[in-house]
Amino acid sequence: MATQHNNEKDERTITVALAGQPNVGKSTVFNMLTGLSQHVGNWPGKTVEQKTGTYTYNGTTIRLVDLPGTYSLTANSPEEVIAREFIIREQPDVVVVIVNAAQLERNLYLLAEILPLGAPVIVGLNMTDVAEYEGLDVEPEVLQAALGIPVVPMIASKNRGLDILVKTIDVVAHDAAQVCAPKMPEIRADHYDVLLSLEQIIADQVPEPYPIPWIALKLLEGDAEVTRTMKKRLSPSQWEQVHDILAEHEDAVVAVASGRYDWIGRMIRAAVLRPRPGQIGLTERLDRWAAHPIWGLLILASILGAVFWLTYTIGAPLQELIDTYIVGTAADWVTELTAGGPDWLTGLLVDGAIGGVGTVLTFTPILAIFFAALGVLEDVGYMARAAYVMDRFMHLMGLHGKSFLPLFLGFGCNVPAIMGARIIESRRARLLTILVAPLVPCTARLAVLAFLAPVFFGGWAPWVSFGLVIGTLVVLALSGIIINKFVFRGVRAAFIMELPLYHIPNWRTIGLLVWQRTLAFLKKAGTIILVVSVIVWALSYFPGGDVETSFLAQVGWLLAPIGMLMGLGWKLMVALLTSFIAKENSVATLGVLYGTGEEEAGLAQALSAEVTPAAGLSFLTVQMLFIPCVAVMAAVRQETGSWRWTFFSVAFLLVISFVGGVLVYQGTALLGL
Amino acid sequence: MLERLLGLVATGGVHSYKALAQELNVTEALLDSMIADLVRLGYLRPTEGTCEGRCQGCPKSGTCGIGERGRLWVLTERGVGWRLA
Repeated sequence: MATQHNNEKDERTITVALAGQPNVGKSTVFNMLTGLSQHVGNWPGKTVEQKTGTYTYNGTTIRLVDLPGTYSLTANSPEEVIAREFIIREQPDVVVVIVNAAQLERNLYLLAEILPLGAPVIVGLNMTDVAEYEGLDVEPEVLQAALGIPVVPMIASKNRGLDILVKTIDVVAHDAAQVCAPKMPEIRADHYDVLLSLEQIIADQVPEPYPIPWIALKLLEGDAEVTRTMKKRLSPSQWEQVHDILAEHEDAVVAVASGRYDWIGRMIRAAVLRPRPGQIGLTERLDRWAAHPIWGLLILASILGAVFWLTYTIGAPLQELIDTYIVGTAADWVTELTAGGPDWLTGLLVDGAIGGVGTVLTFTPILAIFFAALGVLEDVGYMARAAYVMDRFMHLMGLHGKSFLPLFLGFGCNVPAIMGARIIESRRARLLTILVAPLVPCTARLAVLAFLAPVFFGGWAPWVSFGLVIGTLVVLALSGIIINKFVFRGVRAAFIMELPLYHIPNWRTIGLLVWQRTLAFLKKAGTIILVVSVIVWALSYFPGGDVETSFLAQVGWLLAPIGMLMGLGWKLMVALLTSFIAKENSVATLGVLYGTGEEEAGLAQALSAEVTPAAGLSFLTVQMLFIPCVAVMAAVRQETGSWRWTFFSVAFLLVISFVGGVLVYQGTALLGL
Repeated sequence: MLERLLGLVATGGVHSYKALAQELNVTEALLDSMIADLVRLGYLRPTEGTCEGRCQGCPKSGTCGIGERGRLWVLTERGVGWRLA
């Protein structure tokens, strides 16, 4: 024992250790009690600072030792080893554990580790003012009764409660047995026998003054320091027995920590009153609906519907304005400019470049609306809820967690969804996530859908668009389930997500986002889409200037048998093929092939005259399920590191889109559309 | 307690922080401590919930990740392989 009795009758020295996690006010308590009588040095043989000091009370000199601030007593850091070695070897008369009343859950873990060391303990419940400010009502008497040790409420920074702490230290140092009957945390019940077995094996080799149960517990936790010590001390046969037990119970560390958390949970439930009703925040109130398994899905569906409605209400008129006053005017001007030149030049510029790129440019307003809508939903914090409720729906269908990341990252673009799959450790779960990610609707596909749906379906366009998006997500779920069941045989992916707080959108950020993404789209229009449009025009013009006898038509007719089953003529099939480069190319290609030059009717009119609603629906279905674009496939190759899986992904999407197209066309044709 | 948390998460899918706290009848602060412990023990891994900076070649490069996404943890291989004794 650390108590020293001097020869003079009334003089006595006791040692008190001050323990606690960082930032609980331990140093404040130390400084308040010791004042100027502090000594700062290093712990013997270590570079960690040691602070000691003294004060006197009631004829007793108290030597106060400030232990390093630690979160627990594992052997992960020199500070933790110093703290526990001091308590075990030096056997202080009292250990005062300072805890932050506002963070009791976290701070009690250290107390749970200190109690089994056997020293008399007092809890200094500091920062009670902070706890009160945060609406927490901590009842010190209840905590004291629950813990079985003295609890002293304090506000050390204002020198409140320290006098009671000093008095309590004196009482405990003189007669710990009277006031300390700690209720210890226990290991989970199913590991109790394991612990006893270990104790029996090691009992005669545990060095003084280490408690045998504590050593056994640390062995189960895989404590490196204790394991090293006991391995040296035990005989080979004893160590073999210990090793066998530890190998059989590799996850025992969970049982040990679990016991501590059960104990902490009981203390908190007993002594801490939660914030009063009425203080539930806006986020929680909104999430009662937005994160609800049923209402959340309905809200999501409504938001999706609203976005499409906005697109058709605002985007479509703007689209028409661009078509008439920019694209149309440009076509007229270029036709006039090239009037004296060769036909092919006019064709190249008007039908090729303007016909292709111009058509795509007209859906800039639609894309801008999608970017803005997605931006607002992301910024306010809703997209996390969207992914959460969609995954819960997928979970019900048997797709446990594999669709979460694509839904969380992939709305807008599939590439980040595929790249983000890297956080999943299991290769099989990662592969499955990568395979289903291309089925999440991206803004490019949504824009093509928004552009073409009104052409085929007029006023029904919002409903058709909505239905196609929902249908695509259902296909995502079904295909994920099938692959999971037959290819990967039940891999699991799991996440814990803390939904972010809702907040008012930052319009400047959203404005910048829309601007940057729209610019990126325009840049794509001026490069990739322009090149593809020119190539498509050239292949559809030569050799004879007639699209129906062109090189492209010959390729298109080769695909016609496949297209026939889906109700798609060769032009639609070619448009589908070019969408592999970039989704918007399908519209550009249609613009070239159906002709949008000066004498030709607009694309919308040309399409509605030549393509039936059934074929239109089939085309849109295939578009939604088809290979997204070359950038996505490149990402698949990069993240899987395998051509085999990349080709599998391509084949998988081709099959799904083909089957989808056939089913939709044949089904709607039967209904007479 | 910790094994209950691990057991709930290991069933797969995405679990809301709040829902887990309610299911376990603990405060969110205690859940936070338990999650931190599971991270330390290698059963969970914290993640940013983004592509973690691998932007090269991505069409959304420089324009993604606005707004807060909240904290996200993924179950590791060790966590997937865990079973209640």
